[in-house]
Amino acid sequence: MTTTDVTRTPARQAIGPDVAIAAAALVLCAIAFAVTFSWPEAAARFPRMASGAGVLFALAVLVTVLWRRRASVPEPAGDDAGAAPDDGEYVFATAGTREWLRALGWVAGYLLLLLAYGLFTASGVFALAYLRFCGRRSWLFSAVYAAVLVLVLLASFRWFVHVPVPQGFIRFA
Amino acid sequence: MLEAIVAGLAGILDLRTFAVMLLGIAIGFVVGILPGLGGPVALALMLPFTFGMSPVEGFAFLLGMWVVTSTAGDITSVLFGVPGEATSAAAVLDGYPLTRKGQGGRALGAVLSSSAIGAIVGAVVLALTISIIRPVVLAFGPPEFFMLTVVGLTFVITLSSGAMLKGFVMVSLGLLVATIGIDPQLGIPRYTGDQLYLWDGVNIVPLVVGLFGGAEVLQIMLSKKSIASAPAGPARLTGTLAGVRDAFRHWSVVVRSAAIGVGVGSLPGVGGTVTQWIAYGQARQASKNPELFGKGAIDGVVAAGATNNARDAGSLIPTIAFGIPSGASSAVLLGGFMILGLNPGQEMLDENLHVTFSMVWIMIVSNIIAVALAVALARPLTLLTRVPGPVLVPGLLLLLLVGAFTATNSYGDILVMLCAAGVGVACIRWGWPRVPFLLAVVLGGLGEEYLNLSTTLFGTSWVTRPGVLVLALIGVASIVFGIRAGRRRAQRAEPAEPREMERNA
Repeated sequence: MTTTDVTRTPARQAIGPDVAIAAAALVLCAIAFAVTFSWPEAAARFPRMASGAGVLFALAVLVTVLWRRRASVPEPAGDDAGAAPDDGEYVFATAGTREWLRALGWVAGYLLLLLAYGLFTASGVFALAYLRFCGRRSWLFSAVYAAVLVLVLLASFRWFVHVPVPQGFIRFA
Repeated sequence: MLEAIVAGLAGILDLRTFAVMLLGIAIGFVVGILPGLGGPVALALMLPFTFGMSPVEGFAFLLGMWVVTSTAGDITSVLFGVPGEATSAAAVLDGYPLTRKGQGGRALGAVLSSSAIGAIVGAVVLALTISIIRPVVLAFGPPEFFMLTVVGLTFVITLSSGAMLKGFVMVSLGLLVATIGIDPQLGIPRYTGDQLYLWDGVNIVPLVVGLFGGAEVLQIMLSKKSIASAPAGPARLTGTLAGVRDAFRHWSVVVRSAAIGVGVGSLPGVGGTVTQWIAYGQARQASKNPELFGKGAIDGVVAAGATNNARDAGSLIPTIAFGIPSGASSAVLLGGFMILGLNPGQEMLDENLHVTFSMVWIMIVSNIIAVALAVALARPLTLLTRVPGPVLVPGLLLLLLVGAFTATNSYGDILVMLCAAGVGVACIRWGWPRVPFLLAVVLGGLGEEYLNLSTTLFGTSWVTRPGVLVLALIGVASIVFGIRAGRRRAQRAEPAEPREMERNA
């Protein structure tokens, strides 16, 4: 199953997200522009220029995209073409909802572990679980990989460079 | 000047610095042969490790790693037809056909040695340019520097040909992100939403890590494939020395390609993948056997190799002299300048001239070491490209998290990284350019500072200064040129090229 379950015309496929992104940028820049009027001139000058330009360009994108749809002009080169199977664009476009949920779920799980137990424990547990259940590696391979990863982490951050790393709210004694 | 050159060399020969450079070279090597993990991603992931290093150590690590990614990227291009780096794509055209003919070693020898020669030529040009460009930089005032930031942004926007308006929108958003935090003049919090974390502004490190690294890791998680799948075909590694001889025999191709690499690479926003194709095109035009190009022409391999590292040297010129990065890698490197407490521009050509020359030496030495390593270790290292994606994921995700967190040791950094990763994925998925956004964030603070200084010192009269007008004309010309080039490309119906240019800039 892929994300492109519904057959759409190429033009609509390319235009929809562009309209959404440009509209979001327009709203964001318009709010940012309005906010600058609550600041003194010296502080507002640069953000006002940036947000003002953002409003104009986002509007221009919207008008151009909508005009293209109305006039049935194909999207210019570089907008939706040339995606090879190894390209990120191709991978993101063809991944199914299930794959997306699974990938994001693993990331969310890792982050939750990180928040709870800190970097060292979370990384070891994540590596073990990810390799075993997602990578379909053997328990031995996954355990050795996780152990080496944690050792490298400890050596790099705790013993060698002493760089602070994320600590979890649950601490082991 | 001579003193600075000697001090620069002495700086990198220090035992600790040299060890750090070797570490950078080793990492750059692995990253270079892993397609998908480019120089900007590697730099972004490794940037936090430079905290606490001296400037020369930091650059020995970062530059050593960066320049080697280009060299190593050629290995998989030649052996498997899979470019390790987007900037190594031209090496595939003739390198891989040579490998299929059983001349992989020759192609590898040619591409690696021409790459090393190109690096040396590029580094020499960089050293010479520093002495020439110094008085120019010293003559520039805040208004000219402000216009330079604007011109730098317009150059980058023109890369998004076919989507230039999107480039402008991304630049505007990037500039807005750059203004988040306490106003430098009056101390007023701007766009902070009462969050103390944002008072210092959005840190560049988690932003870069998420924008580039986050998207790449998610891509690997979704595809679950090994990073490279080797196409069928023989990959014998014989005749390496013959390839080295080929590089020297085609010295004129090497010099011309290196010159193109430095020249085009020094133009902010224009470098990236474009340079190799220009060099490849000129080599074909000048060749006595142009019909062999694409079928295994050794001068095509030499041209592709010589451009890569020369381009890196070229891209350092505007980064060091003006603080204007010419692409994603040098934008990340600019973050390194900030972490190491250095200010690009006048300072790098004056009181920190020895650091600048140490950068030149790092480029030369690290490339020579990398080429020697590549010749010795090419075969076992390429096996890494077949490591299944899921095996890489835990390590890469870890690097993302640590890379982001170490910016200010706050979970806010991780949140910024995640948001940036979301933006990065959206940009890749729907064809919105990421590089203009990143450069705008990097240049925004600098631009605002110069704008404020210009207005304070000259009122509004600074806009009529000759330097400002000339730079404004250059900016307008680059946009006009970009529009025309985009139209020409659209007429020729070559859809993939502009997208690639933007993607890898």
